[in-house]
Amino acid sequence: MWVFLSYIFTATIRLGTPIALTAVGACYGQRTGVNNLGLEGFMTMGAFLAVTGSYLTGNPWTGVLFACVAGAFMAVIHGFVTITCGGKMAVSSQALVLLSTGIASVGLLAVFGTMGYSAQVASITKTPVLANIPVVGEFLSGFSPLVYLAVVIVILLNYVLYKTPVGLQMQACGEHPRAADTAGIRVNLMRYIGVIISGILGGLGGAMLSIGSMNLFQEGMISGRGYLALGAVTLGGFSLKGAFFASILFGFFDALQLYVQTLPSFPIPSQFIQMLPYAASLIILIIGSSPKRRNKAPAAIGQAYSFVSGTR
Amino acid sequence: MEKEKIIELKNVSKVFPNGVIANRNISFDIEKGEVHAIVGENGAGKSTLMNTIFGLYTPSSGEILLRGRPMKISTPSDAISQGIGMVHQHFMLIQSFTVLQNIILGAEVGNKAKINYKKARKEVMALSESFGLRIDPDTLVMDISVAMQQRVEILKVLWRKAEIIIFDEPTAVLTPQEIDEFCDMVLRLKKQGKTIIFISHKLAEVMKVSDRITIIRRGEVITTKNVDEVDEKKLAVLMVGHQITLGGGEKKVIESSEKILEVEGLAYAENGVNKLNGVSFTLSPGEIVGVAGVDGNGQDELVDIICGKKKPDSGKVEFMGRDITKNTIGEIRDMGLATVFEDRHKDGLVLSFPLKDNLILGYQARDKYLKYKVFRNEKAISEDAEILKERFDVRCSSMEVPAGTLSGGNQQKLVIARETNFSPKMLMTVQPTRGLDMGAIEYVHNKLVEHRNEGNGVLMFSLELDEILQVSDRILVIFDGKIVADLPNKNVTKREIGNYMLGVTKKEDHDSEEN
Repeated sequence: MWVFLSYIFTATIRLGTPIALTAVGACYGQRTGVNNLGLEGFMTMGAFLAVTGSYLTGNPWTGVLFACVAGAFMAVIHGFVTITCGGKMAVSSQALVLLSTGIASVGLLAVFGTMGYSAQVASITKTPVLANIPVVGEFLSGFSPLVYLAVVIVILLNYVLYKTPVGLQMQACGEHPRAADTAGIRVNLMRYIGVIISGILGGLGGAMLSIGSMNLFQEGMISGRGYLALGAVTLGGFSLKGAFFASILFGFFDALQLYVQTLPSFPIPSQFIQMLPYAASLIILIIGSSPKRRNKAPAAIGQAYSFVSGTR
Repeated sequence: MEKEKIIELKNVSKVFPNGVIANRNISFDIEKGEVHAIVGENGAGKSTLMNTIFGLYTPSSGEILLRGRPMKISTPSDAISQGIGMVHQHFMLIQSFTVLQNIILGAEVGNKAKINYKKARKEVMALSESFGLRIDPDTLVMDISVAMQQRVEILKVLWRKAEIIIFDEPTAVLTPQEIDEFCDMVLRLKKQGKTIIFISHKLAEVMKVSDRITIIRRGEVITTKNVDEVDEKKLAVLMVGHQITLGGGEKKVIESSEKILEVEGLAYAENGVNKLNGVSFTLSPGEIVGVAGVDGNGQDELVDIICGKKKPDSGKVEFMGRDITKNTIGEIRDMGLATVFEDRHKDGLVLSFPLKDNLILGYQARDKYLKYKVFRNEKAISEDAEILKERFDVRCSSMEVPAGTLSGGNQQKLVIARETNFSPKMLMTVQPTRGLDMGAIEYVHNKLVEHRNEGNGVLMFSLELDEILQVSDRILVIFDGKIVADLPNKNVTKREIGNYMLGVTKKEDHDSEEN
């Protein structure tokens, strides 16, 4: 029993963190009014560039930096199309997903000369510093430092959003951009900051998947986690903490799925078991998306406020 | 001594990218410490002008001087930093924020790392007390009344230390008592040295609080007057450009023994509440019947049943001798009973559709608009649209622009144009002049009487007693789901109708009261 619990807990954290990082970022972006449906693409880019960075320099932290920069860069593209030009957020997002898938396959060939898989690179799946803590040290050191980074980021962003002037102004941009504008707030600047944060965290989420829990990149390894992150934001009622814990819940189902697969001679075919996290998230979303929770969505989410498109 | 001119406009014009000229060569000035009203009809360009002064729009040409120097305002924050604040017609408040958060937003108290809400609350409350603006700082804006929302807006502006405050149609959303309070507040602000610019088409308030009045018509300044030089009547004429006569003008005498509409014993209940308790009345050709009543006494249900949206529990509706109780909305309309609904945004127009498409909504399947009985006949639709635009004086740059870009008056003209286009035997209108200015009201009244004079029947529901008395041939009063009075509109007083509306006088004791 202890073994089972320990396994499930570890796997939940390991599998939940990439979703959580991405979801918290997405939630932040949405609170400023920018919907980023292309998280799948941000994670793909993050995962791939993290491995590339680690491969090229031998240092996994360079990989993490690469992933963040890639995420920020894609966010700027998304921001330019949707914030500055007032383009449709869904269209821009889908374009970024396709772009990132393409770059990842071409990049695999260009950097590693392989198809489908990258070479194995230096990774950061453990936090050896913590091993010195008595009793729980060994257990805690078994997680990637990115897990701890994620917790710090959630606490930090939560503080910024709810306690600081800039956080209040960002929320205003997501609720009523014109009102924010008339209050002298630079709406589009706030929205760029929001979307870039979502981009960086999306990239970080991808990095957590590739070098934070494995040591290579594999095409299709994101397998819908970007979309799960979006679901986590809704389920979490558009609060950063909510998004974080909803993501961990999705991580739990993923972990459960993995565990069941390891059981010898389990009667249900593994393909069905692999469906578990997605089916569970669908059911949770249906049950959890009460009108009350949906009403918590920022009032102006997805509404452009741009001179170019005449929506300002 | 000449007062200091705080704002001077010199030949300011604003042309929108779609070619609409909202302001043309506007020149006037605003003196420090005065209440300056800017009046004009809906769509005359008042709001555009104020948005230009506030920095939401940049003028296409011309110059604005602020305290004698060319004003360099390109964003609202520039305006704020130069002491100009604006209370918008549609409040710029964030529903999910508290009152306090809304007031301090963009000008927070505390340092960059933390908002000091405690200090902010204290300072905001002190400000609210010094101007006598009662607020409840910790309530969410979505939970407070419209009047309090307006106070929050004003405090927002004062919080930013505005010296010049622009009010855009501030009284449009207020009840009569709230309007009185508002006027007092404006005078209080003036006393404290603020300069007030007050945009409105409600002349009573304008006369009450202003020092000077600038009249704008069709994007141009007509004149600026001191308040003692004019009265409400003169202002109305200046605003619209001609003498206003409400009531629709001359009514032809039309004798007819037939009935267009016969309603008999309609009863209807919803969720166990009786909305209609045996409503009966008739409508004859060449007659405008006005239905008066306090809102919520069964008018909505009666309208819905006559037009076919709802089915009564008992009773029947006969139109031109045919029982239409069980017919659908479309069938009833095709028989010649057209309806102009109360909410033109919800029931009358598709705001994002071009005007010409709005003009065929509900009539799109008429042969006139079809080619080979299947396809849209674009040519016929456009031609018809141009004719209606001309005939109904719809002011727009083209019939291709979305209906949402028009002013309320022009939108209502559009709906009436569409509904009378096929000369329906009966026109039912609900609050036909809600939210319209004098010129547009006059226009709508004229159209209703015109339709009547062609030998058709008009059934008009209205909450405005003046309107009922001005336009109707016969007056019905609905109270508690019953018609409690059915009087020819001769020597009827407002008071008399009012008593019926409130249920003070009953049908039975009407005679005894007259004796």
